[in-house]
Amino acid sequence: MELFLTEVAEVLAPGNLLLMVISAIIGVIIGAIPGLTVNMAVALAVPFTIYMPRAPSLILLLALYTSGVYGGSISAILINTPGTPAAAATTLDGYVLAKQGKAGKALKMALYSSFYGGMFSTFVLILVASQLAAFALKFGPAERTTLLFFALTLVGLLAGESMLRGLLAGSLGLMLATVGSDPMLALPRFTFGILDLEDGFSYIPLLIGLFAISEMLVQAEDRMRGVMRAEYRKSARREDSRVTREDIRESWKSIIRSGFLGTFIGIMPGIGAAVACFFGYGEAKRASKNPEKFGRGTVEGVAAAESANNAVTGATLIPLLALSIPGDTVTAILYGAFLIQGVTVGPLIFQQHLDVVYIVYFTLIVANLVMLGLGLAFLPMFVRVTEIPRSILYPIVLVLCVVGSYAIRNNMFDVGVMLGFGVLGYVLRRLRIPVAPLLIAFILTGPFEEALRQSLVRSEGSLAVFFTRPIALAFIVLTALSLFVTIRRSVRAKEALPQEV
Amino acid sequence: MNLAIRIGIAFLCIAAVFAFFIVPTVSEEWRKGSEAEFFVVGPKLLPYLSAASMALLSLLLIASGLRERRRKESQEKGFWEWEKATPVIVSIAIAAAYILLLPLLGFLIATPICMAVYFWYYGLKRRLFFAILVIAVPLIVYYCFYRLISVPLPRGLLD
Repeated sequence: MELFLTEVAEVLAPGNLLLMVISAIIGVIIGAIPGLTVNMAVALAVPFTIYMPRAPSLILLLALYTSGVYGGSISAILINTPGTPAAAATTLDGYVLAKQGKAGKALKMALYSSFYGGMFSTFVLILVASQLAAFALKFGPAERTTLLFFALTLVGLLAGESMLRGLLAGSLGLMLATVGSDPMLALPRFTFGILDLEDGFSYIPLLIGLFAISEMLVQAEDRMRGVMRAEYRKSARREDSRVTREDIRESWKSIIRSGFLGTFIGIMPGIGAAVACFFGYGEAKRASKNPEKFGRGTVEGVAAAESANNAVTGATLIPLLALSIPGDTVTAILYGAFLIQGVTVGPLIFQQHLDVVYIVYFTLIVANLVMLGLGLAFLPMFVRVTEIPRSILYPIVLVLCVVGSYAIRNNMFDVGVMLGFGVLGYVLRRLRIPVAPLLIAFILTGPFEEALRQSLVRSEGSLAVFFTRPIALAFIVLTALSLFVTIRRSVRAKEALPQEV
Repeated sequence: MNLAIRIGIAFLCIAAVFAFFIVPTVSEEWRKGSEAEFFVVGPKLLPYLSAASMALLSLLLIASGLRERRRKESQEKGFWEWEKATPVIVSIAIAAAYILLLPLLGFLIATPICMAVYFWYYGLKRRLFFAILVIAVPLIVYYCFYRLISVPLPRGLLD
């Protein structure tokens, strides 16, 4: 209890609170600008946390993450372009409401439901993560191997539109992660005499390249001409600019349902907030007595989508903290941020770094409150940032990418690696191959190889070790089931397509 | 040939080159140490596994591409469109030139040059505003990161 109170006091220290407010403002602004994503914001912020103490660095990153997901709803509602993929379903009713002169109502409903979703999933995180970690402590190398194999498969299966392309991206991540010293014998692999490759590709330049540079190149395709006017007309009717009791009565069930759905999806590796957003929206429409109102401007649609996507924020940290498995891109980036601070996430974090766990819990709670306060106070200011031209933003983003990549080891090799991975990320995106499985596989390969080889050493090379231990077998069955269900769904979807003659 | 088949062939080639030419470069010296007998699998296991999984997935993708072609259901556009590719190539070239110039000119000189070239290429009209940006952004980054939180910035021969 004393430790908990110490960490609460640390988070609430004036300097840290100020940092949280600034990070939340930056998060909302970046989330609101189409083309700048939460992933990019967190990826760019990580290198700078090297030079910060542990608590402020986590506060900075978590506040950016939480508020960035909400920020995506602003441009989704005002210019029909989601600032982040997580707000894609918000456009369906949000923009219609904005065109009806009800932008204020839609934005406030998005804020309240985002707040609810974020808080709900944080409480689930607090309740579930430590229990799951206690269970995970029973895992030996065989269980860890099969669990990581399950996570790798699930991420590949569920990220992106095509199962095969997701898995291919994962296998590429696996391949790239084998560059550098081998984890058991410290033998160099594929370094070709380049000293900078002894430790493998640096994680931060890789993720900055994959997410920030590739996004810059995607935006370059249309010569960064993407500027749109925000649909923010004020209605003469006061109730069009605020959330009324009638709106709450209409939407509360969807907000709560989406909170549950978003949290569940957040716990599953590889799915992420964008799917949660559509899932929450779809379920709200299915359960509604008036489904025909969806898509024609109902606040319930905005509420369902936003509650679901923010409910992912706390929940994705459950597998990260308890099992050392990053469930989506942002948690994959946070995984590296924890490592930079000397903290290895996983079940032991609850014994060795309980202070960090408390900082994460309390920061998420306060960050959600800060997001609510900022949203109410500065909404008109955030509305304006959706109109900043990308041609101004991206050269600045490039400068920050270079500074961030250089800061890790003070060498230009990492900056070159960043550009190389930026081009690779762009090519993959053009080929509609998702990059998130590549990053997550890249992160999980080290622990996976170590666990696999430890298991095989103990079993003297016999694969039976994975089938004779109940928990390991359970993960293999789960992997096979996930593959079976995904393949069956994909085959059915293909069969449902009309045959062309 | 549709996009799925092309992707499949490209990844199959990567897997083959990796498995047959790159993985064999890993030294086998580890087998000679006395404690090495303890390890039943060596550093080549995972690289081979990754190549095998990539090859298998590529073949499945090629098969699905062939099936799509038979059913004529593929709606995907080709990867390369010159009209869109030119600004991307120019952006990569500017970024590469910036990275090459940094060790020579240092952050405070190379950054304004790179930003000015970007703004010029994207045809931005308000010259005074962009001149201010080109000078202010590197100075703000320098002050915030180098001075305030001691993040090292690339230094050039001219620094």
